[in-house]
Amino acid sequence: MRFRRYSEVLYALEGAARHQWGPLAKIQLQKVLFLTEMMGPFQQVIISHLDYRVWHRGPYSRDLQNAVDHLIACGLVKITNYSIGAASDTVPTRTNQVEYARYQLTDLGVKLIKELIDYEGNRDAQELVLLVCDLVDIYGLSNVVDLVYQEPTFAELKRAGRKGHSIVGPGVENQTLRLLAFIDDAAKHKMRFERFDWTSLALAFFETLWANFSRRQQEATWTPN
Amino acid sequence: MDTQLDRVIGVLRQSEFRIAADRHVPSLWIKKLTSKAKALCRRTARSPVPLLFVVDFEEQSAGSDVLCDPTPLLAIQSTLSSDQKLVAIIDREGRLLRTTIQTWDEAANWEMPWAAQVSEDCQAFVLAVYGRSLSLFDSGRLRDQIDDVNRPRYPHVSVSDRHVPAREFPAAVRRHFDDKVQYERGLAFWGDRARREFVGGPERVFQKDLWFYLQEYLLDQRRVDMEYSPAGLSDRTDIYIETVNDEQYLLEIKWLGKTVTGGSYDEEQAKRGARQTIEYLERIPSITRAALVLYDGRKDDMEIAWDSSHQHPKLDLSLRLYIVSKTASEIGRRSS
Repeated sequence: MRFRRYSEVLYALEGAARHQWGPLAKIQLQKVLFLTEMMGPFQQVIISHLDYRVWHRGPYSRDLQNAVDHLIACGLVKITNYSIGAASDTVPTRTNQVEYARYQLTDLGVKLIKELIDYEGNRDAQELVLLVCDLVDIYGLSNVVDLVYQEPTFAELKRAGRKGHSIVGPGVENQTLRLLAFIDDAAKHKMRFERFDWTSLALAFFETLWANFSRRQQEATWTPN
Repeated sequence: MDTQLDRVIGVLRQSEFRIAADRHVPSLWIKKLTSKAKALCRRTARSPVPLLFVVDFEEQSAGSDVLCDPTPLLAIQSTLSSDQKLVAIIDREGRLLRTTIQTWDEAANWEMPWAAQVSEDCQAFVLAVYGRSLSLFDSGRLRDQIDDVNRPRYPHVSVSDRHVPAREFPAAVRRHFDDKVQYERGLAFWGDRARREFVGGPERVFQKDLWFYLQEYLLDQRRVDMEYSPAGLSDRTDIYIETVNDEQYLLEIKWLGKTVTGGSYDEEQAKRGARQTIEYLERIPSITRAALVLYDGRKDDMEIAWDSSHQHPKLDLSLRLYIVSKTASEIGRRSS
């Protein structure tokens, strides 16, 4: 089994444990790793290429779900809650049933993380996933879906009604990288922040996503006097 | 200005980025600390005891995270007398390094000057938690204030008709006056409205509210600072604005009239303010423009008799803002 390919899942679950989020829901895991994948290339961190597609509940990767299932089969991750029900935003029918699951690292998974770092020199990927977990923790895990909806590549495809379209792949420009470069330039040249490091840039990127979300919220709730 | 640039700059001019840039530390550290302090505010909102945290970014502690659980601090607080105040020195993760006890006997409105003083004495970043409010001080300067942590606070991203480029700051000052000062909305400066007497120290009230307003509504500002000493000046300017295009603006704030505490300033104070601002302009040639903002609480609405010694090509003396104290119904009654 190619653990390196799946290591990001373990790191995300490690981040969840560090922040005491409890078992991580399927949708939260998908969103945390989606943001990591979009930001990774800016730091030349190669995250396993997972085919994220525009889905009705945000970006979704079957590859990632397969990776989680493999890790469960290997005893590195365990399911703590599992249920099947209608999606919260739909009228329940036989065809729109959704699987709800929550995942947690096993002791073996925790042990493997240490070996992955030592053996494969995978520290950069781990640091990136843990940084994204740190940022998600600041804005609240319950808001991760709202943040992901503001990610510019996904937002553009969603606006264009491209359901099922691949978000990461040939023919689609990673808009997050453009935005990160734009923020970096604005910070260093316009704001004159001489020591604007990567973690500050990542924070500014999240803050921009949050600001866009807040603005849309304000616009949605605005009523004329 | 480009909307995307304005929005990104709106994000970057938030306090965590500016404090981090001044201190040369990652913004994430400041954000994490303020985020924890906000959570603490929500938990201790009913506590009558203010908590002051001085952050030492150099040292690291193995102690407990007192921002997450302030129980050890509250236990020490309960043993102190009324004039003794507790200061907790924490590391960048919020873990306790040590505590000190200070004596501070100014009972009225003491928490803000005390926090500013501690921040200035230590030249440190200070988080002041009191009730539901959180204040951030850095080297003695108030850098941000959240009056109620439970109220949602949006980053400065909304572009409305109130937003103007920094070069049009006089229009923003007038708008602030028309929207807020004239109707005493969101700030309180009348000590005795009927006798047209301000509260004691009204300049601070006007200055702080205008500072918040300009931070929010000047589109291309890099920094809007209160009590800032630009290079070449030892004095602290009332409001200093720097834009992303390297323009610098200065605002000197003065008030005219009387206070309930016996203070009184007339036309001479306005003239002193003009000379003071000209002195600033001569000492710092890089200042693009300066303005003297006069909040006029005198009984009569009279123009100031400026002479040539008060004139300077870069000085704007048009911002004398006369505050009307009578309501429309009172004016109606008098005239009939």
